[in-house]
Amino acid sequence: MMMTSADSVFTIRNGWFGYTKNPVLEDINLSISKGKFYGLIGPNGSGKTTLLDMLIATTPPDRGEVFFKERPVAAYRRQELARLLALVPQDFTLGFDYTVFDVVLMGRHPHIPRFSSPSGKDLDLVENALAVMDITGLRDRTVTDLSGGEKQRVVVARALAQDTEVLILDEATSNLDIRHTIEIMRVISSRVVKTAVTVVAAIHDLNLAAAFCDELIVMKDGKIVTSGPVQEILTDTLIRQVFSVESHVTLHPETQTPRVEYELNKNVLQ
Amino acid sequence: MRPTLFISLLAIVLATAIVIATGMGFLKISPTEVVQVLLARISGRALPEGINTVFPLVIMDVRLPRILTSAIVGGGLAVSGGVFQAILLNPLADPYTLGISSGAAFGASMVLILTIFGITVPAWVSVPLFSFLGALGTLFAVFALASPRDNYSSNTLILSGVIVASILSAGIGFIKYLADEKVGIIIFWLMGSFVGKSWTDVTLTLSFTLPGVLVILYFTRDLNIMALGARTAASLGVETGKTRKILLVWASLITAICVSVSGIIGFVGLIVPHLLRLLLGPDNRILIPACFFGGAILLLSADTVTRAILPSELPIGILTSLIGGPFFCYIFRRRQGGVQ
Repeated sequence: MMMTSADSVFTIRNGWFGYTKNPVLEDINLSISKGKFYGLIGPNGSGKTTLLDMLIATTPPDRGEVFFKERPVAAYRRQELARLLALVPQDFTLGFDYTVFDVVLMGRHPHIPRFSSPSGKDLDLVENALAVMDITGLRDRTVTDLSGGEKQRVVVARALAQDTEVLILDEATSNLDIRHTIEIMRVISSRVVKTAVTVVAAIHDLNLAAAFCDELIVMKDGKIVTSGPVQEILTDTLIRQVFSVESHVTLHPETQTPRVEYELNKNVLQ
Repeated sequence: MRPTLFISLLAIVLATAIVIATGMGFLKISPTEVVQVLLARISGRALPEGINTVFPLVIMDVRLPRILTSAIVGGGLAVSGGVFQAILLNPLADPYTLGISSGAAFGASMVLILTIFGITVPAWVSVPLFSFLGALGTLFAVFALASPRDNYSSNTLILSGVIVASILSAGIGFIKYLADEKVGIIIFWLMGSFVGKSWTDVTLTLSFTLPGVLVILYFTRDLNIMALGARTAASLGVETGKTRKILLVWASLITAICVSVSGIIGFVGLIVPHLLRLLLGPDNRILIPACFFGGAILLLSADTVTRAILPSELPIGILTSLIGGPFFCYIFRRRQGGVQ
């Protein structure tokens, strides 16, 4: 049995979700250590989002246990949890005309007592998040008027302003162009390096995952196929087994990070 | 303009409107005399010299209860409209979205069944009581139908409201058909009215609306965060499921008591929050108190128009819908124009 160790942020033991014949998650065992960038990869419908929801305690497991920093995640009060973990979702809808500044300030919600005004520190963190995501110029625009890329930077800024030790990204860059994708990934991985933030990110783009993540967690059909350091586990065989796609994985000559090239004209029959 | 200043201004306008409206009617009383009578009554001192002795009677027993009831109902409907719009993430929701009005109307129609079975309860007791029970019953039915598993999502709630309301409408139709020509009392109630409201009505509406508005004000910041969607709101520390339920129940209770006292009054709960949001922005911490005063001013003014200005009294629900409907079309059209 897995033990929770001091540098472990999350531990899932025998996590199940869904009672049907094909459960959404099946016997998940996982340990996430502090200060690392984890990439969660797998085909659509493999259970990545449900696994992330289990970590942020919005979807409690039907069976099994989820620990956050050696305490069951269910034992935390929501507000307490929100001071420690932030979520960056993929899509963002807002029915009302809040300004960019208002939305980023909402990231401070768990830190500001009810009926209090934001403190100087709260405002500093908001300004900093706006500056880092390069949206200071948009601060007074209403979010509903922004483009997809601008909106997503607002969402990331809000999570950064939340100033948590863990960031959960659920395909946070899937809707963005390549420049903004790289920008956001760079900002987030610099937080991992500089302030030992832990990141768990569901990512579709394998090259992006390989370039920025320390470790990968590979899922298929509600199960974890394998997990470990990127260089060790990202292979042609794994990609064929999990995604049913032929590919060549080579190492970048300078950075030594794996690169994936797909065989676009070959299909793998299962 | 500073938001707090705007809210204080609305409060002053409301106080002024109450005084002016009290003076209006068949017997004209000047605002100064109204204030003098009110002060004398509150402090328990004798009336100043030179004031007609009928005035205190007219003010305290006839006009003020009706005026205060209409103000509280207006404020209550506008606040619950604001809450429904914020929770259901739909700026076109109103206090009746979850089928509350159909439930109240069904309850009121049940009174006719009683008379058919020969049970006679005075209509002024039975209609409000049954409509309140009908509204509450609908609320329970809608919640039972919507699943708690998805934290009472907007779509599930609106759909449940539509289903329950359509069943109730069929029920109302059936009762009307059975009741034949005795149907007048219900039809009149459906059109809404503040005629003959007493201090009992003031106390009754206030005893639900005041705690309701206070509870809602307590949760206004969470309500703002919930605009980001349930999942994100939960990750920001809001107990989304619990908060939604508390707010929906209180907003519905306020609506239920308002409907049972005054009948169905449309558009106040839709237009006031919608318009104030255009003016003040979506921050519920400012919007909700502004809705209370705005709704109170609007319904009080509308009721004063039918009571003291129109040659014969028009049911208030008809007046608000006749004016509110086209006005809403205008705002709606203009907003669409702005989007293009």
